[in-house]
Amino acid sequence: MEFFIGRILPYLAVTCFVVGLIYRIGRWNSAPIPHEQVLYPAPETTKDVVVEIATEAIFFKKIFNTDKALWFGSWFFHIGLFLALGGHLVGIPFEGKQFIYFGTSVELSKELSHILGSVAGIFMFVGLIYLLIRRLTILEVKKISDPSDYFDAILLLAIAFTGNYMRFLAPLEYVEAKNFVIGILSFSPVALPSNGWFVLHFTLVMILLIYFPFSKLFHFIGTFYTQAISTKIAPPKPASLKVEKGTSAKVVTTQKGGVSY
Amino acid sequence: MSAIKTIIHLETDLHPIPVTTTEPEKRVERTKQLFERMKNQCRAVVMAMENCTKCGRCAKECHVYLGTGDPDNIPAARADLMRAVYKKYFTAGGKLLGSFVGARELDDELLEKWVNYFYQCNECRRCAVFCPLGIDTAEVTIMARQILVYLGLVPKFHMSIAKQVDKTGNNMGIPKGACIDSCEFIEDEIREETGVDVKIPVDQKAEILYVPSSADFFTNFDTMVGAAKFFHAIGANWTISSEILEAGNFGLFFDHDFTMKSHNNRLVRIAKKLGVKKVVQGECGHGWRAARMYTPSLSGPVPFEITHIIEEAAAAIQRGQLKLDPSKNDDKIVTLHDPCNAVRSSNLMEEPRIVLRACVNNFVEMYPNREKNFCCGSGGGILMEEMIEWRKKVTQVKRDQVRATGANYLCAPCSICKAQFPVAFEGYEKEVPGFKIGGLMDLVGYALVLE
Ligand code: HEM
Ligand code: SF4
Ligand code: SF4
Ligand code: SF4
Repeated sequence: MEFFIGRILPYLAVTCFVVGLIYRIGRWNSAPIPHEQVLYPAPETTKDVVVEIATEAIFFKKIFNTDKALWFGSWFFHIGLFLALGGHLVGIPFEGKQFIYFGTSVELSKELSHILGSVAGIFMFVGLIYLLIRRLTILEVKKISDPSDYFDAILLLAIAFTGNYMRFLAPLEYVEAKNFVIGILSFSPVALPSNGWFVLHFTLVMILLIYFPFSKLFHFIGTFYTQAISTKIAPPKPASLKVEKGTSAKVVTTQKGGVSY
Repeated sequence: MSAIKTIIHLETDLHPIPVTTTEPEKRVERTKQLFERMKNQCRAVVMAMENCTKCGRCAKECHVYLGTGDPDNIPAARADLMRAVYKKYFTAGGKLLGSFVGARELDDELLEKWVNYFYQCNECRRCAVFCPLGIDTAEVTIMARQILVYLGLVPKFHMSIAKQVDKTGNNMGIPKGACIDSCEFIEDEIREETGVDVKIPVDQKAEILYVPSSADFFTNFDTMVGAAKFFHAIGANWTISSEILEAGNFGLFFDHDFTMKSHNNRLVRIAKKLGVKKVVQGECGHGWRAARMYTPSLSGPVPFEITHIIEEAAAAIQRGQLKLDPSKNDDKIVTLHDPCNAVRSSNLMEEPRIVLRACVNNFVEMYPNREKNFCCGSGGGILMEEMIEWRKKVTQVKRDQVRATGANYLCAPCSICKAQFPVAFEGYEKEVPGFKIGGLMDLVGYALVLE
C-alpha cells in the first residue's frame, strides 16, 4: 500500500490530470463559435475585455453584485484554494523561508507562512462548509445537484480538513514534504513521511487529480472559454449612424415614480 | 414509444423544411446521432454541457421558473435534460460513472421532456447575464429544438409561420395587393390627421429598404404610421418590399438550418435586387437579432448596412433632424420594456431611451431594466393558443415590474411582446384606466410635427 501511494499513485494521478486536461481543452477548441453570440453591454476594447473577464475570474463580480451569500461562500473557498495552491508551490520548496528575500528573518518568514497557510486553509474550509449547506438546503440548488456535486465539495473539504489538521495538530516539517516531493519529481521516490495525516492528505489530493478530468472541476479553465464567447468586442455599428457631436436636440424630460436611471 | 404527450401541438406536414419525420421507434437512436454531430458545431453548447458548476445562481433569474414554479424550468435543470445525455454518450465521466455525475440514458420519457421543457424556454438569455461562468442556456434550447426539427417534432404554430413565410415572405401571409391597399390606407390616414402627403413606396428602387413587422399592418398600425412619418420627416429615399414584409424570423427560435437561413437569404436577395444601400429593420426584437447578428454568418458578406429604425430615429434626433412635440404624448406615462433579443443580444439599449426622452415628457424606467430586464414571456415564439395559461403565468414578474412604475403606456418595441402583453395584461385596464400597449415608433409618430 505504501509502495502504491508513494511510488505509483503520484505518476498515475499527474498523467491522468494532464491527459484529461489536454483532451478536454482539445474538445472545446474543436467546436467552433458559429455565429455572433456577444452579450450586451459589450466591452469596447481588448483591454476592456481582459479587465472584464479578469475581474470576473478574480473577484467573482457577477455573484458579488447579485448574491452576496453565494459570493461569500464561493469567493472565500476559491481564494483559499488559490492561496493554498500558491502556498504549496512556494512554501514547500523554500521550506517556508521564502519571505527572507523580502528582508524578514527566517523565524518571521516561517511565522508568515504559517499565518498565510492557516488563513488559506480556514477560508477554504469555511467557504466549502457554507457551499455544502447551501447545496443541501436551497431547494433550487438541491434540485440541480447530482451525487458528484456533493462529492466534489466533500472531497475538497476532506483535503482542506486534513491539511488544516496537520497545520494545527499534527505538524509536519516542510523539509519532510520537500524531500518526498523532490523524490517523486526526480523519479527516485523516497519513503512516505511517517505522519499519517500527511499520507491521507496526499492520497486525497491524488484522488482529486485522477477525478478531475471526469468532473466539472475543469471549469477553472472552462470559464475563460465560456466567457470569451459572449464577453467580446461587438461588431461595429454601421457608419451611417455616426452622429457629429454638438447637434443634439434639446429635450426636457420629467420623471414620475418608478426607478430613475 | 409512440405518441409523445406534449404541451404544444405538433405538426406532421413539414414542408417547406426538407426533413422527413423519424419513426417513433427510431427517434432515440436518431437523436443520439444528431446530437453527436451537432454538438461539434457550437462551442457555447459544449461549454454549457461541461462547465456548469450547479451553483443555482440562474434559478431565480428565469421568469419561467419564477412563474411556473416547476423545478425543471430552472435554467440549469433545463440544460440538464441535454447534459444528462451528453454525459452518458460523449464523456468519459458519464460512461464510467453514470448517474453519479448525472448521466442518463436517452429514452422516450426524456425525449418527451425535451419537447416540453425546451418549448418552455423563451430563449431570452437572461440566465446567461447572471451565470458566473457565462453559460448560455438559450443556446442549449436552440440546439435542442434544432434536433427536434430533424426528428420531425415541430410545433404546429411554428410550422404554420414557416409555411406562410415560404409562400408570401411574411408571417401573416399578406399578399402584394393587400400590402398596397394597406399602405394607401395609411397614407390617407396620415393626410387626414396632418394634412401632409406622406408616401409609402412599395417595391421601388431606393436607398433604404424598410422591413416592417407584418403585424404592423394589422394590430400595430401606429408603429407603421410612425415609421412612415419618420422616413418622410428625414426626407429618406425609402421603400418597403411586398416580398419581405417581415422583420421577424421565427427560424431563430427553432430552426437555424433552414427557416432562419432562408429568410436571411431572402433579405439579402431582395435588398440586392432593389439596389439599396441600407436595410432598416422595424420593431421586432428577435428579427433584429436574426438580421443583425446572423446575416453575415448565414448569408455571407452583405454589400449594404443593416440598421434598426430605433437607431435611425435616435441618430436623427441627435442630429436635430426631427421636430418633435413631446406634449402630444402628455396623456401618457410611458415605461419601456426592453425586448430581450434587442437589448441583450443586439444592443438596442440607449437608443430607445434617447428617442423616448425626446418624444414623451413622462418616461419612467421599470426595474430591472436594460440587459437585466425580464422577458415578456413569449420569446422563443411561444405564442401558441394552447400556451395561453402558461403565458399568463410566466408574465407575473413583468406585471409587477410595470405596476411599480404606475405607467399607463407600456412601450414594447417588439412584435412578439406586443402580441404577448395583451394576453399577459388581461384585466389590467381595471387597475390602470386607459392602459395601452404599443411600440416606440408609435410615440415618435404622435410627437412628430410634419411639414
Ligand atoms: C480561475 C479559477 C476559477 C474560477 C473563476 C472558478 C469559478 C467558480 C464559480 C463561479 C463557481 C460557482 C459558485 C460556487 O458554487 O461556488 C465555482 C464553483 C466551484 N468551484 Fe470553481 N473556479 C475556479 C477554480 C476552481 C478550482 C481550481 C477548483 C477545484 C479544484 C474549483 C472547485 C469548485 C467547486 C467544487 C465548486 C462548486 C462549489 C459548490 O459546491 O457549490 N474551482 N467556481
Ligand atoms: S433563456 Fe430565458 S427562459 Fe430560457 S432558461 Fe434562460 S432565463 Fe429561462
Ligand atoms: S448559474 Fe451557470 S453555473 Fe450556475 S447553475 Fe446556472 S448555468 Fe450552472
Ligand atoms: S418577444 Fe420581445 S421580450 Fe419577449 S423574448 Fe422577444 S424580444 Fe424578448
